[in-house]
Amino acid sequence: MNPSGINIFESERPSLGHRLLRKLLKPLLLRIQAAVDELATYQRRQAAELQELSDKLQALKLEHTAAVRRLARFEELYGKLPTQASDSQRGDHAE
Amino acid sequence: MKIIAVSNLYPPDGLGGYEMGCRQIVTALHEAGHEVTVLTAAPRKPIHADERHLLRTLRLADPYAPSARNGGHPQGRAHQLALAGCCDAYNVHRFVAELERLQPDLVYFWNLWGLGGISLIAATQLLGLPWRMHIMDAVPSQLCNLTGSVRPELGRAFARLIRGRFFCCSRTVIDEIKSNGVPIGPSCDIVPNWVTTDGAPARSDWLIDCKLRIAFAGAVSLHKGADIVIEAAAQLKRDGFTRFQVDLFGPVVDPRFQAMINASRLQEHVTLQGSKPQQELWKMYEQYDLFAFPTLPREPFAFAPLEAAAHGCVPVIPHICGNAEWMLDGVDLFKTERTADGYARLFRRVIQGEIDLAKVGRQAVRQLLRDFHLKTIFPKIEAGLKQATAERRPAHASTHDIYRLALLAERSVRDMLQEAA
Repeated sequence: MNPSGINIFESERPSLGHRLLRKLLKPLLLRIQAAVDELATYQRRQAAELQELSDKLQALKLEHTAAVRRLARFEELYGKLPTQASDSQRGDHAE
Repeated sequence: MKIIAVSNLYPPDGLGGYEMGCRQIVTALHEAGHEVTVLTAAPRKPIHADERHLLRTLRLADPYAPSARNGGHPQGRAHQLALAGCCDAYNVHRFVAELERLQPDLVYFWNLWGLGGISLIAATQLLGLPWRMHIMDAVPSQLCNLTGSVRPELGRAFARLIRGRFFCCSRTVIDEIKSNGVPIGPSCDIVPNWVTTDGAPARSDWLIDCKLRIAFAGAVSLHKGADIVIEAAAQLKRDGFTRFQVDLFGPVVDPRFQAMINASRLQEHVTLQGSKPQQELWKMYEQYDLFAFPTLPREPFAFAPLEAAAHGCVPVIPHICGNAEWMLDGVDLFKTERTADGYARLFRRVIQGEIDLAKVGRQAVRQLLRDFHLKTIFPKIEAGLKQATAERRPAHASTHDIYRLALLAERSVRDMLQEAA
């Protein structure tokens, strides 16, 4: 559909100008459509990769939380480890 | 301390770990010399013998019933949700009458969904009584959910007006409540879930006769990942492994799982065992090597994998769930992707001896019995409750006024929902 509302591809009695335009624009529109499809596929792939990375990050955060809690429990039972870094260096969680 | 504990359900009426956890803490409080009365809803089916300190006098607007989720008229469902979460004047009446009669030092809330939980919290605050709530599910956001999602202003108001604190079983559940629109984070203390079993500290055998024995316990359903376990077993069989057995314990409400087993010709390897009493299940874990638990990412912190681990039945859980923030991969359990591929890969590695299962199993037992036994966790809860008793304030309203307010609130919510329809 062009801005005037006339569908140059479906018009019942296309004028010469319309036919010429159709001939010129159709391949271009097909290429645009292909590019749009490719972009959508790319975005879907990106979204899936982003989700995968986000899940990996979340899994690492949970494992880190578990390790920090385990260390805190260890220190509660046996005292601080003599060679360990300070809490700030270790990036301890405030809960 | 003199405590009133309030829970929507209480064993033997229950859905899972939340109610069981409530009973274990109530028992521990009794054993520690505290006076605890439990106020809960009338059971959903008859119960023959009950504990003396138990009052099943509230009513439950059952939010778990199928009709509350997807049946009936939308306005009826909205009214049911409002009764379940926001205000139930009948329950307020019963609740304040018990508070007046028993004069407790504090109120210990558990799962309040179905009881008009917000109105019970409000009544407690108006009477100036301190309270704590134990969270093992996204209860605050369920209470604030009147229309299928939490209205932001209601969620914020809830977080602003509450004066009690929450014992939360995981950061995962706090994050879910927050992402649902109820920012209670600053009022939370994280307290892990626990086991009460003595476990199997002397266990020394895994993979007996070179056969891998896998247990699954819980509702045999999609949300607990029963399909993932069966499909993983099918993959093992397709890969030519034969020395394995998978037993699924728990109620089977969907015939699709037996159909899956039949379709993959897994009858020799996979069995739906039905429900077993908890203590029997604990003993049975000692005969299994792995505990397959492919639960959903929102799982707050399930008890079943803890109990299995205490008996040397090493849990295999997804990388993302509440349990994952308490246990270490390859140290006291295994983590994998929540897919049949992920579970099958791990089972293969165990069968092929790439993983020292006995070492992880022994560590799991040690870890659970030392750090996650109720004997270790309970003093933290008891201290939190004791601290709460110092937060008593003067009452802002009489019990009569509170009941009038509750009636007004219940009618207002009903009128608002009718107008919004």
